[in-house]
Amino acid sequence: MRVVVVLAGLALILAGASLAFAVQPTTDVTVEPVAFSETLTTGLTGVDVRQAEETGYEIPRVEVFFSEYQYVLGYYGVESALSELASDHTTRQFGRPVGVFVTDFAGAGPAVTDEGYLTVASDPAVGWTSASAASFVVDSEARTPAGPAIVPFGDREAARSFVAAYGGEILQWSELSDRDVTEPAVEVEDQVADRGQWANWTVNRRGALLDRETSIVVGEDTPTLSAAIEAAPPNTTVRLPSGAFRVNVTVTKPLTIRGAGPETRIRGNGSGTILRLQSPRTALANLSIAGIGSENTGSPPGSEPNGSWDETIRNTYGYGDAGVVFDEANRSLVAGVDIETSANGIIARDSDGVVVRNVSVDGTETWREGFMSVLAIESRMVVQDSTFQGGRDAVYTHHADGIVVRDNRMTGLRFGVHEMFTSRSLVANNTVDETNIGIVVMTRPRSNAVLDNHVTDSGIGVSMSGSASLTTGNVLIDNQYGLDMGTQRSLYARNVLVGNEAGLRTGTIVPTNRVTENDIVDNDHYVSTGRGPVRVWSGNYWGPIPGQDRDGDGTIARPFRPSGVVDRTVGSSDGGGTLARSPAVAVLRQFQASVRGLRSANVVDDAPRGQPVQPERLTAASNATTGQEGHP
Amino acid sequence: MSQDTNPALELREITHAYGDVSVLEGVSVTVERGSVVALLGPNGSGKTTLLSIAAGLLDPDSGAVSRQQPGGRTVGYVPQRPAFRPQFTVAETIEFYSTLVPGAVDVEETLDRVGLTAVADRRVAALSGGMTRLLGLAQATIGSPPILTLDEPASGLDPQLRHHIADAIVDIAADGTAVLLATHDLAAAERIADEILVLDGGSIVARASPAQLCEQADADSLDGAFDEILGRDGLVGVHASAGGDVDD
Amino acid sequence: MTDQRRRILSVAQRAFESVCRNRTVLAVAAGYAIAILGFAWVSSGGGYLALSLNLLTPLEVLVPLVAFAVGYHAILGDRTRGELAVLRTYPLSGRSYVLGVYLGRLAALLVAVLVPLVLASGIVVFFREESVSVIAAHDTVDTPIVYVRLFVLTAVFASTALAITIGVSALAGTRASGIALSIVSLLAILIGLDLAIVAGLATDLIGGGSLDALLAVSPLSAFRGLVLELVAAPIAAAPIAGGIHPGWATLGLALWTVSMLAIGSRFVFR
Repeated sequence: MRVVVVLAGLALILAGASLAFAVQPTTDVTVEPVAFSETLTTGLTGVDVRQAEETGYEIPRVEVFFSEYQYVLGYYGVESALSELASDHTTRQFGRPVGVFVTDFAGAGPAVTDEGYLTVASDPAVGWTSASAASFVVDSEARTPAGPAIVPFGDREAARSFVAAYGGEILQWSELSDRDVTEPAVEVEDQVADRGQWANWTVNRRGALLDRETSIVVGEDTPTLSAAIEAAPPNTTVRLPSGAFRVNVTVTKPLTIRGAGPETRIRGNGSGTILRLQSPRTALANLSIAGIGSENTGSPPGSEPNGSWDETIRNTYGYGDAGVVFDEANRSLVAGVDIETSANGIIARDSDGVVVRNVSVDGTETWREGFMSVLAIESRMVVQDSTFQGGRDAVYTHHADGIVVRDNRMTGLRFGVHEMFTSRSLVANNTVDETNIGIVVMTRPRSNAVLDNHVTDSGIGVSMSGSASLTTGNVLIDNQYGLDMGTQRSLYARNVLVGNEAGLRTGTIVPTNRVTENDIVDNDHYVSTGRGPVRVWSGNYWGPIPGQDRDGDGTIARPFRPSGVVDRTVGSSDGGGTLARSPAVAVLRQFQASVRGLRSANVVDDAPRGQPVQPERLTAASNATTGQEGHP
Repeated sequence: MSQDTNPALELREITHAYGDVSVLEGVSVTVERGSVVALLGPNGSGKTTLLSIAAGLLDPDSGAVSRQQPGGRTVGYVPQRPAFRPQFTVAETIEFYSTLVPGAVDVEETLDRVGLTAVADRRVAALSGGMTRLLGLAQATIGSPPILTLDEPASGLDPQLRHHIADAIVDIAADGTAVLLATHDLAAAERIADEILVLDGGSIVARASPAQLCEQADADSLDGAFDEILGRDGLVGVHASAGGDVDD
Repeated sequence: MTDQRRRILSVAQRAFESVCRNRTVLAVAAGYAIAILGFAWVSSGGGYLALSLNLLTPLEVLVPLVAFAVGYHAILGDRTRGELAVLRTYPLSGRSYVLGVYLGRLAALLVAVLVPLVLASGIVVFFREESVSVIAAHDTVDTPIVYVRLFVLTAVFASTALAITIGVSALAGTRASGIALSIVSLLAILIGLDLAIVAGLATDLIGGGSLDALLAVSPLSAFRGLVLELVAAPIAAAPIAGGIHPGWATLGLALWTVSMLAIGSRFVFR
């Protein structure tokens, strides 16, 4: 080969390539608004959005294009976009926002309903306008299901007339950014104590239902329970002695039905529901129930379609056969009741303040045949100190905001706790094993708290979705996946993950969670990552890893990449640690923490711990897993 | 200046020192076109230094060097141990050097002159020491320089190759080239040199044709004449293989 | 003049072929290629900017290494064999010789350095993380332009590294001590200057303010600074600018190239 030819070729190529310096890479990526349905949506909860869509209310929306992230993020609610954009974490993760568009209510004839919801006269006239050019009305009468609404207008005049009609004040985008935004997960941390407090108070108050004066003893005063219920004055106790009772009753007044213990055996005829409690402040205590029908689902008698967004679920799930059904029976109680069922155990529909405690539900051996031990529909209740074995889900919630499920034992089910469209719940201190998923939160709710639960030998320990939620202090052992993090802007802290096939699993492709102070030890894999850019976590304990704590602050100076090709072998092979100390690996890692949005799925702990966060709980967890097959 | 009357190479009153060590002290050498001048002398007598100055590789401390300037290559030079890039073939090596002189060079003829045609396609790495020496000689003739300088062209070779090289040098001189060579090989010098300069201690102690030299010293052979001239019992390196010694 | 140019090209041709026929150099080049592709593979799924940043440090380390392998023996070899003396008897100036050697070796070096870079970009193109089709994707700031810039800057850096190597090779003596000295001086230029700047900062001999000009003195820092300034900084949101004036850095690299070749030319036939 002639060197002249090579040199000429190189000169030509390099001269051509040098044109790259003449072209300025566009930092101002030109972006056009896209259909909101094509964005990665976040912000309000699934239920809020569905409700708004169902009823025709408008929720102001925002689309954000980031410089280092190829997908468009869509926010329900201007405030949720604001809080995200204000976060330093967001810039590090996605780069700068290169385009922000907001829904333009100018010309759409916006109005506010009596409930304060925003409607428009001419749908789909709501278009998109650039946020920097828009005027925003804050503190007006308009609100979303989640709170006060910020309403954007592309035209200042339109904003003025909106203010004239509904009050408020007009701000520019830049002024909005300066408003105070609290990190959502921190808010939840503050609320958790309140939720526990509410549950204590509720359980306490329901205790009074057991102190009602006895008016009738079945077998002495009346021959049957239905006769007793008929005869008993409200707010008294009907007592059932030991023995078997054939029962199929509906209670429509505030009564307490109390047996002598499990020997008081209420028996159905094997079809349908046994006890229908349709009055507030009813109570059922100290007895056992069996002979329940086997229809998992049903339909309400004589129901007409009412067009509500969750009609199907309410009407099919809520009307299966059960031992006890609460129907608009606020502030009721089930205590000390043993239920044997091949369908549901207890169903609560529209019954707030119901307490289920010290209950035992024995479901079907294979979960496909059975249904829910406790099924809460639109019922803010407390389920505690109970035991659930077999059947589909121990506690299934549907739109049961604020429910508290704590101190229960759940074994051999599909799911332990299964939350649908349920926000602001507290699931604490439950012990779950041999399930497909110990605790699962679905349907994009917000502000849920899953604390201090203990899940072993399950498919997934805890699986979260939604946003602004808290998953802390859980001990997850010997599961396929310990913790599945499908949330956004949520906190995962102080969990102990031992002996799982994969300790953590990243879910959404929008990485906005905070993962810190967890102990992740002796899992086959530290992390299983899905799509999406690099996730940066901080301050977790990953067992013995390469690197040293040079300054004695408890943090290893070298960032740890639990999903990196080298670091992920550290836990399973000593060679991994040796390789990880290689300068070549160090070179590789140097710049990997930059431009995260443009990189593929990976996890970096930028301040891994040298010592366990919770040594005692970790030791206990490690002992618990000792001897398990596959986890020596 | 006419080329016909002036010698091809003339060194006048050359003095050179390496630091404090004086190597040459007022040495004058003249080489006419078509003649062969042999520099003889023991190790350290300054042969290589003088040769380097003659070849233009070294500037003397004082004294004048005048060479015939034909316009192209002035001097051909064969170092004591010529070596070439081992990855290239013999022909490629000659071709490369040929591109450095003006005008076309017949590579085949150049190789033929030293008898390397048969190994033209062999890599330098695969050549024997003698053949490498021949390649060095071939290289030195590229561009037909009027002056040829050779440093120990045949030392350490077997007699047949020595003769081969000596014959090649005589041929080159016959074409009108002025040849200056440093050697230990008295027999070869006797056979090919028109003039022999005996260098000792940085000065020329004898200057004559081989026959004159023997006559002056009243010796039968150059060997004996040499001993006589240097006033020593035996001559260092005459019969020894001068393979590794570099006398500067 | 045309004669000299012809001779420069002859020397260049010989230098180029020497590299092509040298197994050690080929092995080093192959090792470099594997390393670059390996580093690129690890960042597969990311974009051009991510790849560029990932390759920066490996290039900083490996390009001088390859340049050393390609260039170190270029002139020193001729000198130790005695071929340099032979060459001097030809009508060939020291400048032509050094320039020819430089050009020939540069051709080989650039091919060895740049081809793996082109291949590495294929990893971005062909192993891009598949888009989620139901979600609207838009152009990010990531663009091949940044990678092409890295490509050109690497070529410039390689040219400088080779010039330094060739210059040192021209100056190196034939004795073992001379060879050792030349290797040490190479290391000093490539790494020592950075360390000297760090030491200067540590002892307050150098003020932070003069850093952007001083960094240009060290070829490695100049290259790094240029990449950060011209590749990363224009589009990355997080502050990863080089903190060096591109003009100074370019000047630094150019001066190193020209001066090392000039020094080599001046003293090669000493």
